[in-house]
Amino acid sequence: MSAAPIGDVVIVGGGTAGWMTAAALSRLQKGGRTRIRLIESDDIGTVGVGEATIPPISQFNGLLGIDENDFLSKTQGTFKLGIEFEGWTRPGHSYMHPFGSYGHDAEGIRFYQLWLRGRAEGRIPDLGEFCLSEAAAYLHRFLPPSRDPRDVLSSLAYAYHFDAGLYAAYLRRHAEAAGVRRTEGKVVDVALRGEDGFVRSVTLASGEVVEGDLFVDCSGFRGLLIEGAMEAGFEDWRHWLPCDRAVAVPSARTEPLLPYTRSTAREAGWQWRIPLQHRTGNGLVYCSDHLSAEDAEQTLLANLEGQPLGEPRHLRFTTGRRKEAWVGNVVAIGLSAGFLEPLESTSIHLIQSGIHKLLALFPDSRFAEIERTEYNRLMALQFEQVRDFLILHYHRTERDGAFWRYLREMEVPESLRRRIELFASKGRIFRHEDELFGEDNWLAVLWGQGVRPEGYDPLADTLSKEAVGKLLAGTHRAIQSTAPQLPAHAAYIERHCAARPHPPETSS
Amino acid sequence: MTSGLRTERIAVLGETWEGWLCAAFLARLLGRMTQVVVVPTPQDAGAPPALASLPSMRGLHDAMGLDEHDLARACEGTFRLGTLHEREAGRSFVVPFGAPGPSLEGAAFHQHWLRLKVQGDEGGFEPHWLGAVLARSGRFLPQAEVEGLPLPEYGLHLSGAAYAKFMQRAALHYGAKRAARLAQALPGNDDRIDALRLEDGADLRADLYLDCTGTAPDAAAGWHDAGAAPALAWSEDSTQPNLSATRMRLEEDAEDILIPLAGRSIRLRSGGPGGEGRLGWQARSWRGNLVAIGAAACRLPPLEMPQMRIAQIGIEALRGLLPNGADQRVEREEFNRVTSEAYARLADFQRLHRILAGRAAQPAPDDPLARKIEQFESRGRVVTYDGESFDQDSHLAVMLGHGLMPRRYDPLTETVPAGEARSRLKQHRRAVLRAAETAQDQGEVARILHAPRRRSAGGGR
Repeated sequence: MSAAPIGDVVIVGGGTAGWMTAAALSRLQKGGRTRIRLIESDDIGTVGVGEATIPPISQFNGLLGIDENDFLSKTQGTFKLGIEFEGWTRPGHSYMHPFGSYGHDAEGIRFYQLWLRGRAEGRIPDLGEFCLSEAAAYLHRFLPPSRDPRDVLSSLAYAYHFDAGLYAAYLRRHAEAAGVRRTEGKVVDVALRGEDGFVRSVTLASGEVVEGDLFVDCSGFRGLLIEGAMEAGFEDWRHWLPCDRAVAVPSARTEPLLPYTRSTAREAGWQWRIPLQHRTGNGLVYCSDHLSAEDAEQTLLANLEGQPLGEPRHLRFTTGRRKEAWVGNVVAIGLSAGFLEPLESTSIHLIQSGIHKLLALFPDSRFAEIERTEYNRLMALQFEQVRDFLILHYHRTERDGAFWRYLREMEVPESLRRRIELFASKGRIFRHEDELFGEDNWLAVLWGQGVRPEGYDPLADTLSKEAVGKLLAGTHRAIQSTAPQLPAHAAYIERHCAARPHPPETSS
Repeated sequence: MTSGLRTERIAVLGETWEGWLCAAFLARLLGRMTQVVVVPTPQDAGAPPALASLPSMRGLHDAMGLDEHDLARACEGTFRLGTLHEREAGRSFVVPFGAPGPSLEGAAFHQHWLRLKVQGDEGGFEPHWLGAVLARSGRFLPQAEVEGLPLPEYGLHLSGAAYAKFMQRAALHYGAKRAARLAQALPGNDDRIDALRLEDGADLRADLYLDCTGTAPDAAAGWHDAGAAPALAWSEDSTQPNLSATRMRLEEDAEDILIPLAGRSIRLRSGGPGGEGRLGWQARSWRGNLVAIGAAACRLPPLEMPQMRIAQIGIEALRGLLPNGADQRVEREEFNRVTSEAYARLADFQRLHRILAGRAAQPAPDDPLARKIEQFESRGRVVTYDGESFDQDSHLAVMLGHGLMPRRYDPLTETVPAGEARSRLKQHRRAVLRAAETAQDQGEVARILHAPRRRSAGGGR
């Protein structure tokens, strides 16, 4: 009754996307009929996409059975409790978008509504002081969360910083151990089948022809198969997110070892700072209409905390998404599917999400149209939701200059407009189904970017002033007394997951 | 920033079961800060002889401090584990609440069954679903902790008149007031009500008015019409086939529904001409300062007994968007968006039943139902949207129940060897059987629950 399963899966491109895909799909080989093969060229450098991640990465690693300490020790990894946004709202201002939750709800009323009420009635501590992840981050401390929901430590959430090249190498070992076959070579030609326009095979520089039933395009920005062969088309989002270049350089590690990413707003873009065990990753994302490559490089080098290690690398990109991430028998995963700047560290998540949806809709040899259209629909939605969240950062600012003025005055997507309006009225936030960022994430950024509600949910008034005061004071005390007792981030790493003195070579 | 609750009074139009439910909920929620007044109107609809709730209604009752056992005791209640749909030729299927089983190796539980089914050597799905087995056999298991099976969930079957009385007592207990009957609503500017003129001559002013009269304005602007309402015929029935399930039969041009209460059953025949008004819902059930909740906002056929859920949708949306003072624009727009989406999904769920039963036209390609059916038919993937009343498991039960068999299955299931999958499903079925054996017959549960007690029950705690 069912059509024959897919026989040969060919992944074109290594790097983070390629090896994440290979490692996750390798389980399909257990059925005995599917074979996974990955082609990568040692000549083509991989782009170290966002070496910072968001909490769902632990689910991906968990699915593969990866041990956290082992993986961090082999990728120069550190822990990440959030992102600090410096100068985004206005110069001199800074806020944290922490992972984990703020306080806890009472009587079915959201904590932040109680906090908004407390704030309306008198002086109370800033919102961030009610979040353990944020409190620990600023003290440079870390401990994994507790599983006991009564323990204040259970409110903590975290992700990782790591060297994306080493992560790819780590997953390569995992995938190869599970039977994925790696072929070294550069794809020089793509052959299509006459009858249906599907990809029949790719030809390598060596002359070898690799045939397959399903091709996963992990070739990066250029989309060797999805665009080069299938001409999927691209939806350009530069009118909302106009940055189109980046320049990146590592620098020497500095102390203390921060357990968070820092993003600093600059004249025509922003600069990232990602702490690893052996060095710090830095880069400037900017808009080429407003800043030259030379000036960008100078700005970056002038704003490093440690000595630069190596030459700055320049990258170009176009923000937007492939109109269809799956065409025929080609599925694009990673940069080939679309690009959103790593302002909220979503690059690796978008890979993970593409893999997850491909597994959920994995085709058979008949390639039902219905699975393809569903995949494209779900991926489009995911890209759009992340896009809205990024636009919010750029849109609600008081910064000067043509770049920032344009972003402040532009028309934003209707979905985002409605969200801002609901928050500006009574601080209300609603999460939609399947949405990546939840209420606390939106709260951190809406508040951080200076959106101030006119009022709060009238339900918060149903508790007495004393009850609200007591709850806020108790929560604050619990968090502020717990955070200083956590181990220092650097000490925790030293004890549990320190990298070996000589890190293994990056394969690419 | 403004502070302080500036909603001094909420007037609930309609001394109906929905009106008292809203009043009890708001009075409990807003305490003594806001006065809640129920105003009887000449249009007030009577309580239906029977109501049925979904498991999600428990959250609303909990928030009011009401225990569902107390409610059941006061309202001739029985515990509803699902709906038993009788089809032609003695065939039937159950739409239970709760999940059938845990996912395995990244594939949903039902996919593993589906794989063996497609390969041709597996029986029906229902024996794997504890909720379905309990619903069909008239049993009840309030706290199952049985070999990793998901806990069966339940709603209630209730007497409508008793529920209205119960909610009235609760509302008055929590401080709501009852005013004199409405003579006339006095209009103000911009679609707003300025005040209510009562029969005793007094004018009642409120910050917010709720329309809980149970009477929908036919073909008002923004009315999403879903056809003429069918005639409804209620009767009492002494047969009590099964206390754990609502029994539902789709006939040629009617629906025949049996709702088991403690000690008697209520029969509802729905169909044919002669019904009152139109079916459908208001795309803008909040206009000016008047919010329609319940049947005043949305009227659907009785398939799967949606009345309580409709009221719940309005109440929960209002709870999340309570306004403060006169400027209610932001709340109103979001409320209308959220509720009309929820009413549409609920109507879709009923339509899904009828389409699969061959009693409604196939959906057009851009109909959201088309995607649900196609995705399931293709590979057993269950799709739901924002604003659903029934979850993915309920959709699964309906589609399988009507005999919609997916052509293929999730290939991830193949990472489990077929022999192992077969033996795991067998183990699961055994666990379901064992759990069902430890469950109580609901006739016995009802006898204990409804036994005469010294203290009078009900009224809130």
